[in-house]
Amino acid sequence: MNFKRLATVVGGAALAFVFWAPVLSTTSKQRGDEPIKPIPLAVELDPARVALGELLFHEPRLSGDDSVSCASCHSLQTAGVDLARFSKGIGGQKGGRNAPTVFNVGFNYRQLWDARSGSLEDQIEKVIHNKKVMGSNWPQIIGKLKADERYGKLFEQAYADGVSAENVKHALASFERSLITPNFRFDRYLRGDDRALSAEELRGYELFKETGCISCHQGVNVGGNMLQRFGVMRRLPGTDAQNADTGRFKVTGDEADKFVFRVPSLRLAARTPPYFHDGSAATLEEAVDVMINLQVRQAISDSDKNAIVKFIKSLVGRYKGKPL
Amino acid sequence: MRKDIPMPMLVGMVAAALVLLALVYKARSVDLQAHNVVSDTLQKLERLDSELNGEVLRVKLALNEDYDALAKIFPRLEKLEASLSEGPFAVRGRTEPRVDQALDSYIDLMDDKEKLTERFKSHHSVLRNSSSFVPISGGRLVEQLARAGESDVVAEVKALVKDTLEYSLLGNARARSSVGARIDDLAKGSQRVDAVLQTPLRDLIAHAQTILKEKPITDGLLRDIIEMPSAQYRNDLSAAYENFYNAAQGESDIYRMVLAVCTLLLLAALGYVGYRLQKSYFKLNEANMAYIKANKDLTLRTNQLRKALTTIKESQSQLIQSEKMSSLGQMVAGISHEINTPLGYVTSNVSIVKSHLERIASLLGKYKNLFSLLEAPESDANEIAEQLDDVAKVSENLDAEDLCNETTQLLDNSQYGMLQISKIISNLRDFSRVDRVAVEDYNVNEGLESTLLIAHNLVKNKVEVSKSYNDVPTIRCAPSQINQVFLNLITNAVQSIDGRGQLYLATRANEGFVEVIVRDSGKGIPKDVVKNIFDPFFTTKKVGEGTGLGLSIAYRIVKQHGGKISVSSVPGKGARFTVSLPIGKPASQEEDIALDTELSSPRAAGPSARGGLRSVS
Repeated sequence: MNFKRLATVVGGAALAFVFWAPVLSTTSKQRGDEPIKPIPLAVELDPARVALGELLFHEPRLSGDDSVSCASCHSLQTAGVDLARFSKGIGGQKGGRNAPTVFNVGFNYRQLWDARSGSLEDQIEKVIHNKKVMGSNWPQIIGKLKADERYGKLFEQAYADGVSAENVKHALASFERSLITPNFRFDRYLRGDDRALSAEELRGYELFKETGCISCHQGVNVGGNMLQRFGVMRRLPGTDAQNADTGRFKVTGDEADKFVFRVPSLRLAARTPPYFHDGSAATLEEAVDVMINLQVRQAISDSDKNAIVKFIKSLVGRYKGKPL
Repeated sequence: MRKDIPMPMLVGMVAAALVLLALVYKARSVDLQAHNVVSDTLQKLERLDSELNGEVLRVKLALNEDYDALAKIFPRLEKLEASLSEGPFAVRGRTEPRVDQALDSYIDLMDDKEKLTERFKSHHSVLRNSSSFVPISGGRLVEQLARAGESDVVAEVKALVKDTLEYSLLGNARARSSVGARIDDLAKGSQRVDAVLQTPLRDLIAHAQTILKEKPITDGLLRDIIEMPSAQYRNDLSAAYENFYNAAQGESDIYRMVLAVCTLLLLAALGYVGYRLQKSYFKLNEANMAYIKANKDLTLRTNQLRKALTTIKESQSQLIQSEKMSSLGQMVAGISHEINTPLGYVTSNVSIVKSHLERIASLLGKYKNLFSLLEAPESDANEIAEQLDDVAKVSENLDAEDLCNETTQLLDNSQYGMLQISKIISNLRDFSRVDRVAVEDYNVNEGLESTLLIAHNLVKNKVEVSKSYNDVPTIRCAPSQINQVFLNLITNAVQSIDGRGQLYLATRANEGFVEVIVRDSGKGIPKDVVKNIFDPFFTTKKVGEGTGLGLSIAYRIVKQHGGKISVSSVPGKGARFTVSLPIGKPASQEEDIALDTELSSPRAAGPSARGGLRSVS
């Protein structure tokens, strides 16, 4: 080894260290410096409003033909999704994008694949009026809710001004915020439990970071807090097609936003196939492949890939004590 | 009351009230709480912006491992911006267009900043990935290449990695062009390399290219983000708002001052009004006091007058009494003379008769002796003869028959005299009629005759009385009062005659009235006196000789009876009094006549028939 090489390696390592030193530190008990943060164990919400929100979440009368409720596409039994590529809205219409999970949705900084909803309430507003999804409107919904005595009483208990559009949205959002899945095995690891992860999973986590997945899939929700082009290093296949989903470009009209989407959360990725905005990846392995190919462009061995998949699986937590 | 306030004043008052209300509205101070909240919000925005800049830098310097903190800033920003745009403490639409514009500019700017930040996040991730990939995979590749013996490529790769690292750290042009050159070289040289190593080499090149692409973008974005004039826009907004606020405060201060001035003026006006009211009150009070005093004075005066009236009434009564007394006196003088005359001769007759009776009684005694002598057996003839002589002597002296005749005559005269007296008495009674009821039927002829008898003393030897009585119906009246009238008229008539004269009395019925005329040939009544003769206390006699009440009383009596009394006179020739009394009167007047004692005269008989001084109460 000549000195130049050594210097390079050391320099690179130093640079890497500068980037990753805090990350790679494994000496601290509480791993607060990891790019992934643990989900808080509890969120403070008004129980009456959460209960009301749960009822409304499962209420098909929120749709125009009383057939579709929030739970139709975001069922709590199936990890907050419907496990279909595209969901069916009212009248059996097929949606254009894959339904993301409703769990931990409160930790996303924006909602929807093109991040055009700044808040949960706003997303509800859009979905209610979307002719392909719920196809309803507030006067209709309020009328139906008011006709039901049960709702009248519950609304009165939870809100000062009874049944109103604002309160429906607020109740639903309160419920959605309550859908946290804390204390994953990974979270326990983050909180200092060294035995929470298996060696393979831990290796997967390290690879996740090394490969660069961590650049976008970070934060408390392992994603969900930024936008990124789908096809950074390589172009997304099918981007030349006429009806290709151009993501955020549809919202801003900015060329630079073509194929830019919100980075999804990987928290429950292991339970919510199919993947990507168009549900084009049926399995987690496929999704990882695509990501590595398009986003990080690195050669990864199969065993490394498996380790990463194992890591992702370790992110799955429990809702109300029950594993999802 | 309302119609006392004139229309213009009312309008003025309403206008003033409205103006005052408007002033109060304008003077209300700009909401201090809202101002505080807005100022606070602006400060928070400033802090948030610094935080944003800080977070971006932290991300860039890899002090932050994840974007959560950065991502959370924008929802907070949106919330703060929303609180300025809507809601209770909103600034939009509540201030002025300048402020709204500044707010819009700021919000737009921050939206741009957010877009840039998003882009920054995306590009930074990519850059970071590639930056960390290049040295690591570069190192691995070097090993692999070394094992494959591609020492040239190894050197190239190392150089590439070094330059890339340098560029990614420093971003200098030299490193950039060097990297570019190395990439070109490697791209060319990659053909030679083993197929297995092609992919990693191309990957490396791709990442190096990515760094070349992303570094300027990321640095540019960062610079743009930091350099965004958000502070200036925020200051503009703050300044505009503060300006507005101060101006609004100033305006409301001015209005408040105006309001204060107006209030002071109003108070002054009120004070003035109060002062005027006070003055009026004092004046009223004074007037009231004066009124009360006047009232007291009036009461006093009234009492005085009442006392005077009482005194006068008493004097009246006294005068009436004395008039009555004087007429009574006159009457009594006349009557006593009339009575004295028969009383005189009756008294002398009775004493003469008494002496006659004594002489007759003695003669009878002598006869009685003679008789008893004659009767007694023992009587002596001498004795009888003596007695016979005695009797004859006395009988000769006493012309018994003559005496008896004289006595009878004397007694007849006396009877006549007493009859005279009783006539006079009965006339008197007739005149006064005290033993009869107040009002009754009365014949004026009889009344005149009674009165003449009473006044006989005055009349005889002085006045020649001629009468012309007609048949007149009776009238209802108080006889005593009417007689008093006639007596007064006759007395006056007689007293007006110097020396000898005539008195003419006439009565007749005329159109429901009975007229009595008393005419004398006295000295008459002068023209200037005639109108006063019926006035009370008016007399032409010397002091002490008459009360002046006679005619006044007569007038009142006649008036009360519903009659008339009038006078006409030719001075030097005489006077004529005419009394008309109605035949048949309504019953009500009879009470008046019976009860009244007040004086009256034609002139004083104002609005009421009774006339006289009404009592003031």
